[in-house]
Amino acid sequence: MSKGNPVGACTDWLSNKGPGYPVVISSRARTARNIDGLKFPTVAAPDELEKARGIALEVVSRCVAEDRDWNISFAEELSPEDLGYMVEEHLVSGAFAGDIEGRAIASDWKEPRSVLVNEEDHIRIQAVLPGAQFKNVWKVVDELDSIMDREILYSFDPGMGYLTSCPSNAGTGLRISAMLHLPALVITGEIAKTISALGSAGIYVRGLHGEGSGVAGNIFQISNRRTLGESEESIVSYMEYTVQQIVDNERTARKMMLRDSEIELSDRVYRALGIVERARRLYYQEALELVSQLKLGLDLDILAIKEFYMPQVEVSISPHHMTELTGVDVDSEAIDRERAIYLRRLLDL
Amino acid sequence: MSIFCDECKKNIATVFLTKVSGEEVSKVQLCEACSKKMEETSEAVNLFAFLPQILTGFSGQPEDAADDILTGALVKCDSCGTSFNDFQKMGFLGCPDCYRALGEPLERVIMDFQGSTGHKGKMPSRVSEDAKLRRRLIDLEQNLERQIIEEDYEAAASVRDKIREIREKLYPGVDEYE
Ligand SMILES: [Zn+2]
Ligand SMILES: [Zn+2]
Repeated sequence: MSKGNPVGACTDWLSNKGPGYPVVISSRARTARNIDGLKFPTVAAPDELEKARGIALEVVSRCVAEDRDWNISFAEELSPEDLGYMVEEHLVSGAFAGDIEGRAIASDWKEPRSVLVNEEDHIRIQAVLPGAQFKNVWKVVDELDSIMDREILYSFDPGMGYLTSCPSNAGTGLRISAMLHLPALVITGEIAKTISALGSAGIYVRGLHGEGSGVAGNIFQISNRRTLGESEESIVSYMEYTVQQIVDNERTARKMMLRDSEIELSDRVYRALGIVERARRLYYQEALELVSQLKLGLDLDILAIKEFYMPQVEVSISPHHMTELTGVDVDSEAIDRERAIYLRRLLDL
Repeated sequence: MSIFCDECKKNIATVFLTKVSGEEVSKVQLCEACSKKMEETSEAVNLFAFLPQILTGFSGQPEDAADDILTGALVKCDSCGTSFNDFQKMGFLGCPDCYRALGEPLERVIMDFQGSTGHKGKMPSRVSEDAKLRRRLIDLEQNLERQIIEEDYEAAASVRDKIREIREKLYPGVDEYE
């Protein structure tokens, strides 16, 4: 990223490739924890939120944030533009940015890990790594969680596990997710089967920005639905296994398209290139779709344009990033003109 | 109780409502189509619509489900005031104590969503000795169940001894493990 996000959080995954790329973009882990003896943030009064924030941030700054390697920001201090920027970098959810009272984010500058305070739960620890690195990403979160656990008494029940404001997170409080680029499954229509199979296998399938977001650019987020009754390790390996299967399906679909419908495929990819080369304005969603087709063309050696890194392009053409870059208002039509120009520059076209 | 819609009597009922008119409380079960019609004609019914989106996948018995509506307002957490109905409406609990206070209706929802109410995996380091023992008990009871299914009676006997030992520590005086 050219500038970096307002809280200085490390977003290495946006520019580094990991295992499973180009199908697997990133792996993410997050745990949900609550401070014992306090109401959950979803019903807590302002003074109770303040108390929870105080406890959580004190521990972060004393035990985790050595020197100045971490940035701690109260959500109220961040502008809507800052928050929008952070949502686009997948640092915080839209829900976090939507209701900021009493919330905070503490983020590491060197490692892609952060602590969100007072979202649905008092403490959510999250980490993201490029590619399929589910064990590693859980390890990052686990270590941070263990450090905080020594200082904070968490709400816990031997049967229900870690108690969370929504029981759908209770137990381990662990959500492991993967961001996947699946253009071939979408083009061949196989994706419908995949989604329904994942649904019955206890896996959530969501769009680019998680809960409630639409699918754009053939990017999907999948995550475990159950958090209770399975150990962290078994959730991690289940996700690992599931993602491997989806990756295999996507690769098979790519091979089949090359074999059975190469002309249609290259027609599609070259049309996308034509639009990106000539368009005078590009909406964000449309641009993402086109970028997805170009990436597929590159992956399959159909196109000979400069190689680009999918998540980097995805994030840098998103609305608040465009505003940051060009100074053009996020809601203006001019931003779509700027995007068309910028995308060509980004892709060397 | 019939599985069919009270209104049209031909579709399978999927929506369970409690109607309150004056002092009279009655239960109705409707199919999707009839419940939509009902919603349009009466706003009062809407208030009692059973289970919001978050709890989709609920597969409890219709009769139990209807009972839940009546008890939902009564089952309440003393610590934070959240009732089971509040939980259904918001999708959130108010505090850790809600997990015990909302009792069986909540447990059923969790069982339904998570497929389990027996935590495995990480525990806080500062959890009480009692909690650790209760957790150990849950693990052992699961082992026992499995060993009985697998007919590994030798292992089952030793696990049963361990369970008895822990139960004695946790609940002294309550002797038989059933
Ligand atoms: Zn009907
Ligand atoms: Zn409560």
